[in-house]
Amino acid sequence: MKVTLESSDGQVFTVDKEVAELSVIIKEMLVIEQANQDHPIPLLNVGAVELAKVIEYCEHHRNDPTIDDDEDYDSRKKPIEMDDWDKQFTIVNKEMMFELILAANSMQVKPLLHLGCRYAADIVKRMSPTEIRDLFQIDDDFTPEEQDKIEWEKQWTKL
Amino acid sequence: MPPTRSLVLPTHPLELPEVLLYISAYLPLRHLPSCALVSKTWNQVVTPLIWKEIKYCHSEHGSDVIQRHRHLIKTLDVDAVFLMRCASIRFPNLESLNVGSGYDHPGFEAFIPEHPSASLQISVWGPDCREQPGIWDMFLGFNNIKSLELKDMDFDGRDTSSIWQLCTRLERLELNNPLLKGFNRPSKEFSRIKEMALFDIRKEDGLKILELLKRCPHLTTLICKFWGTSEQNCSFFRDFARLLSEGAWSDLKAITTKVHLELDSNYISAIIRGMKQIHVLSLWGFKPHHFDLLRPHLDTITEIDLGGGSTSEMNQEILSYSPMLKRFKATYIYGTDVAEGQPWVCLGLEKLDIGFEFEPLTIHHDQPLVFDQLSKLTRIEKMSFYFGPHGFGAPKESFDFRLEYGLHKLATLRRLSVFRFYRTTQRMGMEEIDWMLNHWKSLSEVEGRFTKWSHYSDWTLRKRLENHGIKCKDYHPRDYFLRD
Repeated sequence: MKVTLESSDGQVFTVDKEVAELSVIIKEMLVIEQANQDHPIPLLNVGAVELAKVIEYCEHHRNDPTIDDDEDYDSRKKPIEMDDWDKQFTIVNKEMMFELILAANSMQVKPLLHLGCRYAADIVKRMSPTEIRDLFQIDDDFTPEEQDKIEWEKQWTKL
Repeated sequence: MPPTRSLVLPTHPLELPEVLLYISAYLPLRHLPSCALVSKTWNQVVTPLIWKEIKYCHSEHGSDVIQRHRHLIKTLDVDAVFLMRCASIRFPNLESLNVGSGYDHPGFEAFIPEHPSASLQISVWGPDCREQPGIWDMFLGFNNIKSLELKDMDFDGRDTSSIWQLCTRLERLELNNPLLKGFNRPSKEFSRIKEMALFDIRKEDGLKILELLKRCPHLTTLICKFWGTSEQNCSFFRDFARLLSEGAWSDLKAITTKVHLELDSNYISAIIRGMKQIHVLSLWGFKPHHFDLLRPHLDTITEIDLGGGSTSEMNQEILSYSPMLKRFKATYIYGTDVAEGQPWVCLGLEKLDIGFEFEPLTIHHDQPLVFDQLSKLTRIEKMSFYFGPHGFGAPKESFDFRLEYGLHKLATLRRLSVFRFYRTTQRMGMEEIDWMLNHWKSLSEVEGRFTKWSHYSDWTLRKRLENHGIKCKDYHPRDYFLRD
């Protein structure tokens, strides 16, 4: 069975239902709107470029086992496996990857979200707080006193 | 209908707390403190992770820091120094408390979780604790304690009434290497204890342990490991089996024994007869004639290890009639029995440890059919094949993991993470290795010799897997007996 998806800029994609269902959001919507499948499903936050990439990912991973994604998920114990295809897939610029994380998050494609976050973690872990802020244009909203306090508390955690 | 949750979106994914939580899960713990300094959003996400687990704190100042984060702390390792500083702090969400030796402070009433549903696990290790009567009275103040682990605990000649009082509230008790010389029979009944784990029990203490078990009428799970192979252990199992068959422990569903002796055949019969429902059965001394007793339980069994006491036909029957099976360990199974037997129903199997043996004349017929059965085990994580061979009669052949013989059928085993083949003769090539890398995405460890052709080709194949981050070990007979 086929499902049609519409990106925020109006482009329509037709994919197999089982591929689209890697997105938890679409899966839930298909359950609710079983009768009405003539119209494409609109994805208001996902542009055509990103959606094409998300679909490419889902096509490749259509037969994967679902990840048990409970609240206490801790990849430090059980990292998500990456194959050669995934490694190729992540060779994109940072901006594209962050767009993909956003898309995966809004569509709730869990394995892609994990893949993107693993990529982001690899970037972040080599950086100082200032570098992270500069790269992602995040505002430093701490006062110097707050910053000192956090620095000082750090020693207690022995990390 | 558009997904409403995403109507309002910040511009950058790194400012979404739910995304940050995923990212922080991929960061080693030591990187988290510096992430806490990025922004307030980042700080809010990583702070609970930083403070979740706190080990000994030897810092000179700062019990106020602990005080401020006390609600985030779930696991706490404490020693005397820590206690002196933090004795008056309450930890409302504590789940696990580890008390090391060297404890010498009378008052830390404070480690009491406030949340009524929280359960608390306490581990105490080191005989030093016996010098500290206050510690048990303190634990008695813990209303939510569900699990207690005592390591190297010396029960000799001390007043154990507080400990037994505490045990009346427990659901799980673990004794690891206890010193039971002057042990006194507890006077209370531990009606809440469901699981008892007894490790490294001295051989002379079997009957004392039995006294303890008699106080736990609602036991569902018993795990025990004794030292030595003496008569005393036999008397423990004799009396245990007798009481069980007389109706004691009527809720018992799981027994795991690690004893270095074969249990008497009569005790095994009594144990299997005594259990009304069997979920886990792991013991030594099982004989083929016990199988008739076990057969009615196949539909509830989740884990089974009969210490090599079951025949190939029985193993095939277990695999074909135990839909709940998750872990299965047995010595051998004939390819012919699988090929001609019923299809396997244990589709949730996670761990399989068995030796397949094929007749030289029928291997080409049987092996693809065995691959068919294995390919249905899509939830399998660990797979070990040990080639004895154990069968009688003509020499047997081991599994041949080559694509042309049916290995390609196992592409469905996408959760497989550990793959071991012991004492088998393989003729794998680069084709097979590349196939594994492409299809077994979760693979992390392979143990065995890939090819008998030459050490060089074996080394090349090993290197290829290692280059992809997969741990490779050559088979060593010692490892087979030491592994879990």
